[in-house]
Amino acid sequence: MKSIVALADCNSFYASCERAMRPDLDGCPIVVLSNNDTMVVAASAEAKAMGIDLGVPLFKIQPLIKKHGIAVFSSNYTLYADLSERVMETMARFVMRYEVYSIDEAFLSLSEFADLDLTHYGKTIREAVKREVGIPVSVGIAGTKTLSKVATKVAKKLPNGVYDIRGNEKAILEKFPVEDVWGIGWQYTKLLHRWGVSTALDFTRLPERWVQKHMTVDGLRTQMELKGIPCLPLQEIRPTRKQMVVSRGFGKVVGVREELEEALCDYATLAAWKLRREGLAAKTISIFIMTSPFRSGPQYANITTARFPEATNSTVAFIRIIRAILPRIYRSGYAYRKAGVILPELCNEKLIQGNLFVSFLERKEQRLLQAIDKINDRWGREVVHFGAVGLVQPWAMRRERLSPCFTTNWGELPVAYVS
Amino acid sequence: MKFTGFANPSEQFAEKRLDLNTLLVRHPAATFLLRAKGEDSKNLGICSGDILVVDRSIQPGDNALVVAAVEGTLRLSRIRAKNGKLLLPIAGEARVVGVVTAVIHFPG
Repeated sequence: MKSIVALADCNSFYASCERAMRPDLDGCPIVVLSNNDTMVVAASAEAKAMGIDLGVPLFKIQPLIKKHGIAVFSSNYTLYADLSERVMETMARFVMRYEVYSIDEAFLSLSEFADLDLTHYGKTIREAVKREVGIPVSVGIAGTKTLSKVATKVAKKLPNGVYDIRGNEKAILEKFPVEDVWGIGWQYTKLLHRWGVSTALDFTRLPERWVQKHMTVDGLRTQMELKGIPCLPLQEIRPTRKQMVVSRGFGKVVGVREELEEALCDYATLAAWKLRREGLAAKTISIFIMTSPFRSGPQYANITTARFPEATNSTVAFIRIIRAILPRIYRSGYAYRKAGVILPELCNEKLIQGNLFVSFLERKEQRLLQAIDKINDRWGREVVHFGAVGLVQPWAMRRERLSPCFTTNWGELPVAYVS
Repeated sequence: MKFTGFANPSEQFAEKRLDLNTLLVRHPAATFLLRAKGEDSKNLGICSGDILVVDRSIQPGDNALVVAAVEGTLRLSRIRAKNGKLLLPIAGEARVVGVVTAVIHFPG
């Protein structure tokens, strides 16, 4: 069976989520800000047309915001995660095999439907997602994953949002900048430009031996895929998570150890909860603290690692160890801007080496955590938490323009007016 | 001697306890919950504060209660058939967002 794959990519996903239940924002330019509301991480097509690029700091676009009435949002990852799941579930209905590639992209296998008019089928998928979840997607259809990425870029510019590149590969690749090819980073771009390769088509014409020598076997795969030879199969099962990182910048400068400790315990609480939900446990933990290299003043950054006596996903164990090891790296007199918890070695919680002497206390602790998880699952995350994470949290992330979590919080449902 | 008790004779009759989700939510990915606000409407059968189960995946038929986007707000309305066409009895531009498939009402 000949391979046919579609890439379904949500248009300006975060911005689209923000307006999914806000008809007042139809056609209105929208930007979504990074953690701490510092810069733009997503922009709707209307905002992009006004010259707003991703990565621009908020203060630089303030005049534009005022002038055009741009809607500004803090990133609401709770909402985006839920709508992403809905998008994926809806698309999954139309195919037998698919790979969730990122929060807003999925590869769909269309090989099984080769006899259909696939442009039409792509439109059907697109319309279903738009109507049922309210999110617009573009669909690029091709013989390989890498070509489907190219096709999606073309699809984004078409009014019907669907493009089947098969049969037209040469004409498209001839005008497709090599730096926009999936898998070609900026370093290879520099190399290729030096060798006079500027389009994706030029790249397909390079001798295979040269590509493998200069760009490893990964570069060769990219080249083969552009030529229509599938080298990257669908990864239907998500690989088990090997590590976890929870890290945030602070909403304000933090100097005292107690506040750093609170922040780290808060991140560890989130990490431990995620581990429990995914049935994983951590063998080691690293914590880091750092000042901001973008600010004047003395700079400092440090990291330290500790091993748990036994792999664990207990919030209590995390808090205990953070309190023990933070003094190793904490130095007073610095303006800290960021901290994080890294769990570099994870294992399945069922494989925790049976410790014959699991104490009565630990078993009680497990029951306590199960109870806390149950309460928080029902009433909202962090309704019940450990005192170690602080009550006031003066260091907390700035999210002044957060939209309601209307799919996950009873108190934040969208309103429909009776008239 | 230790007694472990008799086997529960009703065990083989045990079934899963009723879950409202199975009744109220037919298409989970396309179902959203909204809150009704405004004046209670006998005509629509909705009170302010009710929770609306809105399914975006089904086509509205005649007399369907729907949530529509009207002039930038979400509004409840009933679809009416007129000359073989399904219409919203609303002045101005309106777009159906989803069909209200259930209303959850808490008696005051």
